[in-house]
Amino acid sequence: MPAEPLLAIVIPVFRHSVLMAGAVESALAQEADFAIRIVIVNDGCPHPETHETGLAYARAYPERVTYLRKANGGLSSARNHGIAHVLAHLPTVRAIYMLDADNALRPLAMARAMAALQASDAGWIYPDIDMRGLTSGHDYSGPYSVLLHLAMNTCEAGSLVRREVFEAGVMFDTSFKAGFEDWDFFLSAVQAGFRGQNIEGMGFLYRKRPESMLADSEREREPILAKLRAKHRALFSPRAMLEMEAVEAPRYAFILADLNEVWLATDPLSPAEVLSPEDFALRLWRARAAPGRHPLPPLTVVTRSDALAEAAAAGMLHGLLWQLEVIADQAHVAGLVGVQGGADRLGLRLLPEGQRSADEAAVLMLATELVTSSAADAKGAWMGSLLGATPQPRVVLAQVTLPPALPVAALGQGGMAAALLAAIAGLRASPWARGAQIADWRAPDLKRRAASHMILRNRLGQQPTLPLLRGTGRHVGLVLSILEFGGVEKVALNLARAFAARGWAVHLVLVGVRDAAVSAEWRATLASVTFLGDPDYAPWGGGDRDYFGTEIPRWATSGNHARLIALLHWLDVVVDLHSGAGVAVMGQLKRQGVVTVTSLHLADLSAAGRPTGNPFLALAYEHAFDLFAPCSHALGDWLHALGIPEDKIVPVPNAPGFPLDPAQAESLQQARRDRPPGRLRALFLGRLDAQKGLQRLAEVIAQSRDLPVDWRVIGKAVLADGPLPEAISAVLEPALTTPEALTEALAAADVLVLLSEYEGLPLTVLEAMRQGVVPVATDVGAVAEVVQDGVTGVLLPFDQAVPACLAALRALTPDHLARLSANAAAAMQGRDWLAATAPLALALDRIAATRQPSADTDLPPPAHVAPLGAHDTEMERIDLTPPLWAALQSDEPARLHRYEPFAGFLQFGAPEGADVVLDLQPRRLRGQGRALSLTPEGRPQPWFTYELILDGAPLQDLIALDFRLRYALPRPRNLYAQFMLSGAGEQVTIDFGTLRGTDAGSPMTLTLALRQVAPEMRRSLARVRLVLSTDGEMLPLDLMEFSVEGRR
Amino acid sequence: MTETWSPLCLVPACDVGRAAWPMPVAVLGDDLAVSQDGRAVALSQIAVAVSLTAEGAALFDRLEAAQPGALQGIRHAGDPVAALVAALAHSQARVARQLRELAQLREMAERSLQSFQRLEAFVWQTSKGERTLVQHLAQEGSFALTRAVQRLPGDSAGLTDVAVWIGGARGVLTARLVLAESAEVVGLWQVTDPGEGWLRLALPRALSVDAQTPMLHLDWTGEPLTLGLSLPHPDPRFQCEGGAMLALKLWKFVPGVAAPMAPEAHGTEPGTGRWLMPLAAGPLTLTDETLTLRHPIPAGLRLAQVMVSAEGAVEMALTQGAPRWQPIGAEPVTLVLHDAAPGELLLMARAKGAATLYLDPVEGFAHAR
Repeated sequence: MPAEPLLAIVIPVFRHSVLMAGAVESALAQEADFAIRIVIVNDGCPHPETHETGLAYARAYPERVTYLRKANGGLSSARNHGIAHVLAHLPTVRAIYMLDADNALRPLAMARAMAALQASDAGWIYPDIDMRGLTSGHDYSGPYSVLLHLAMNTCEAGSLVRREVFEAGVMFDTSFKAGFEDWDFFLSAVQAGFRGQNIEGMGFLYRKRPESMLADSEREREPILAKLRAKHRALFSPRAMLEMEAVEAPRYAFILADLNEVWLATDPLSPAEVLSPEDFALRLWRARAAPGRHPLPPLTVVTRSDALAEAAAAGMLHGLLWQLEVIADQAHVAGLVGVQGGADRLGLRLLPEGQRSADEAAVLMLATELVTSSAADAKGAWMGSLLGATPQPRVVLAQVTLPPALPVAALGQGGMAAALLAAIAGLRASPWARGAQIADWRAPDLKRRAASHMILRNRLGQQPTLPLLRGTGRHVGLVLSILEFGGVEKVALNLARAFAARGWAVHLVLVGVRDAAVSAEWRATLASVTFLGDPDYAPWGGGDRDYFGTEIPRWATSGNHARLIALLHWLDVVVDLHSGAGVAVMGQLKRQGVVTVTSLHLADLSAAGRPTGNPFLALAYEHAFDLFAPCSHALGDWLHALGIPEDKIVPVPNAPGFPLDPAQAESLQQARRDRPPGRLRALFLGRLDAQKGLQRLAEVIAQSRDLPVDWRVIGKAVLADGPLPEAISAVLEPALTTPEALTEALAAADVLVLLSEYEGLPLTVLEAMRQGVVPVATDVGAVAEVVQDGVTGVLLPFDQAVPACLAALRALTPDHLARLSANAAAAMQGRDWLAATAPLALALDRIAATRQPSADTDLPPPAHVAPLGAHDTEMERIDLTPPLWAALQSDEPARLHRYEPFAGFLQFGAPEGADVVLDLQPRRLRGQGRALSLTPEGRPQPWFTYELILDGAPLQDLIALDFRLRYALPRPRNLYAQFMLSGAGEQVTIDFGTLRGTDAGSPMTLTLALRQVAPEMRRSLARVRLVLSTDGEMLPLDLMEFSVEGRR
Repeated sequence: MTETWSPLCLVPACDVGRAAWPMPVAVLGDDLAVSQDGRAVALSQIAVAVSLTAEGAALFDRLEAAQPGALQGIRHAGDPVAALVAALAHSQARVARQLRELAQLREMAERSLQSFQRLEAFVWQTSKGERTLVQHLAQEGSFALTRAVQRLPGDSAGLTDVAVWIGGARGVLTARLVLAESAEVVGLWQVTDPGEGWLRLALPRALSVDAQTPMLHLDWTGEPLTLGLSLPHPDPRFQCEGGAMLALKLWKFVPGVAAPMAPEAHGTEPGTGRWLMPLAAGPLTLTDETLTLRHPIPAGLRLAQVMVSAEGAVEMALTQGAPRWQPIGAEPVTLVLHDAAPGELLLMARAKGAATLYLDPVEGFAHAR
């Protein structure tokens, strides 16, 4: 044996004073054609025997064994001590093996490991683990995966580590006292650029006892994991994990029926591994035989390549795949059908189950495990029923709507259920299918490979993540609740354009709707459009807390935040544009490394004139935003006054909402100047709702009939505020949406009249001024920032708006008008979005340059995930409200006894023999409607219930019942809600949960998902009781609203 | 160059010249530096620390104050020879204790071996020690064998027999059963002129509980020989030829226990072993007739025995030639054939009137007992 060792085995010893001999002997017994130095490190073991044994071996084998002794410092410290000795004194050693004192090696282990190390560029060689004591074999074979290593400790400390790893400064962290120091060590090696490699059957023997340090570390797993995540933040960042997933464990197998190919990819727009169906079959059965060794995409997508191309052309490909994953979580098979919609409408909604068949889908997604098990099933009847009238797998389809400009030729074509079954049949017929039943004897410890997509999901609250590889460049997300034709949407479009002009990729995320007006201008600007599709999401409403009078929406406190975070985490910048409840995720996004911005426009006014709305909500979530981007300097000042630090405020003053060629602007202005004096052309352009001061406008129009004024009112009612005043409807013209039509309308106007209740900085005013149209507007919001009274327009005092407007119209002589017009046009010179967003771009550069993820912990999974279609408005609804409640007009009081129904829909419950009665008093509410005051009398009981009864509902035809309630309590008490269903001797109870005392007074919807009841049972049930329990307190209750809707 | 390393005796500088030190010495200087021949030495290399004077002891005290625990358990004072003798005595006491422990372990091992042997006997008596077929991969194809390696499905623990399907030819088939992890050859067979069908290769003793991955290596020299293939396996580790596994049968038994071989099996050591030969399934009924059951004698079998009992008037004989009849009753009787020769084994029975025979399988042994 050569004298110069090529390999060192470091054996730290603490308390294993006897067992260490086994480890040392197995090291001495190594059969290799190179020399091995054994370094025993006595880590201050309190047993003198350790010292004596170590010395004995050093004396007996002075050329082969080094014995070191040090003060106790823990396992990491002892290993480091031995490593440092080797590095300092054994320069010929090329690799170091860590052998714990209670483990052992088979004689060829080091020769094999060294050969593997020398034959590869791996940083370390790790073994399978054969356990002694608690006997078992564990297979860790297969390609090394960093992603998998983030989820589990895949590399045993008993690995052979290349010298260069230590020379790169990677050592064992001595602060890991409770275990997993090896996990930390190898992750450090990964961060230093090294990767591991398994060799099967290396010959590592692990002594497994019921109680061991490993058992301790499993108990301490969570705190240690938190420490690991904090230390290796860059690796654990979901963005980095997504990149790893794409390389190491592609999420989807795309079975492409048109190409007869299978693509393995996470992002189908990135390079994929392309397999023939036969090769895919081999891959699938190989993974079936050894799931820990052979990776396989965990999800299968059956479609055509042109369907993917059409979805990509619409910028919706990744969002659609993501949505299908969300669906596939709750159904066996998720599908997508495409339809052509109206002009500029993009939509994505769930179809009621059974409305369309699986074979009408252009894309199907399901767990690959289902594919495999169906292929392994000789008959395959379960999956085969997909083509039948009543498929056994639960199939949920989503429908994507694209505008005529985007084709749905492939997305509108079905046949994918048949394609799936054909693929399964092919897999079943594969020659490899039968052999896959024969597995290796070692347990596949890395079988998590089969669910590799869950590794990233676990970081993000178990939610699917967008399968989009970001590549290089800056990615900016715009989060909107809705996308129609409002001012905020126009600002969003112009921000998007300004960002895109800087070369940034802009992604639109719509959180509150399933259908939106994504015009050609939007589509030309955006890289992607994604719908959140959370049935629970509502921008406002349902909240039980307020911040200085502004409600914190319910979704902000109890929604499925993780789902939205999973959709946004990968972006560089997220701009929230009045999404309402969406602000709740911004803090988490910031911790994930996203720069968060809130784009603010105006405060709403409550009915009583109290300012409220998005700016106030943004104040409540100040910490969650890096930057506040108000649409005006005035709003910026307001934010600062209310506590936002100056550094965080970067105004992006509004500019005209659509571009206008300067030459055309000048030409139009010249035409205006050349126009001979005549009647004044007054224009109202905008949304027709109360905020815009319609009543005042109507008065002005009515009272200006004697003036030389011609009126045009152009717009559309967005909110139903009752019938339009006659003066307005008489001159009303349809809304204009294209820049050309708007330009034309403004060119034909002299003044723009805007008598709003409240405003931000209206784009219409800016667009009008650019064309020399003189604004006559109430002095609200930031209007005064651009309208200088008597210089660029006319500012009207809000409380005297009508007479002041009439006076201004009278006073606008041709000369005066021309002067104001010229000034207005001049004031708008150079006012564009690129300039407006320049300070914001600088601020984003500044923050992004130093932004690192700081999130150490996994997002918790949401406490509640809304069932598919729970609030799907497209589902047919039938009113099942008990007619006697609906017709209740009597003011007659009544006295009820236990379980004595009142008008067939209301009763109370108490223990038998309880001396309790209920006084019922109908009364009118101050506004509209009626209430039933229910006042129990009697001593407190062990339990007491109010029960709302629904009799004779066709439960077998329904999928859900929505009980809508509003009730008041004299004291803030929680009620516990249950649905009790009965009929034909059957009884089923379904708990709904606690109704918080603070919810009293607010409308609430209690949904009974009838899927929870077996269909055969549902046929027997005829009566549903909504039971509201007190804890026995005789609690009076005012029932103010009650209705029931069934969904089918 | 790799530096040499050996344990050192630490001596205070003031004491170095006071004794002839019997092992390499490192010196502790007044500045608490530890060195050997002027070269710095790590404290971890110190095996024993000896001071001879109060001054030297004080220097050690200073070192321990500066580095607590540095000399814990290895510090001695006084005569260095006496100190080392004391250390040696301590060490020898430890060796003596280990010898005592070894004796105890040996006794325990011997007891375990005896118990194990009795357990084996019990197993044979109660179950007749039949090896259990655990895997059967039917023959679906074949290929011309020169050399082949098959990773066997399952671990090695308890493995007793491997059978492969062959076409039959003149030549020599060499089979090696190797455990992948230890590279140990646990079975080696040479079969000359194998006939067509399943070729069963048997180990005399089931492999131990040390689970490893068994690999079957086959080499053929002779006329072309076809080897049976079974189903294709997707995992390359299990593929033998053209993606398919060998047609295989595997048997197991209690790990580490010697189990009798099937008569058709080839043992690893001709002339040794133990066999089990079932002659009949279930009880046999006779009426005024003579019955002869025949079974080929495995190569190497010298002694055979079978336990029989009967209802009715029956005589029986276990023989290769002229029978020596023995009356059989309801009490089980063991019939024995000594010095069996190659050929056929006969179990004969003759009944007067109606009778029922109860037969266990015939046990065969390579050596007369």
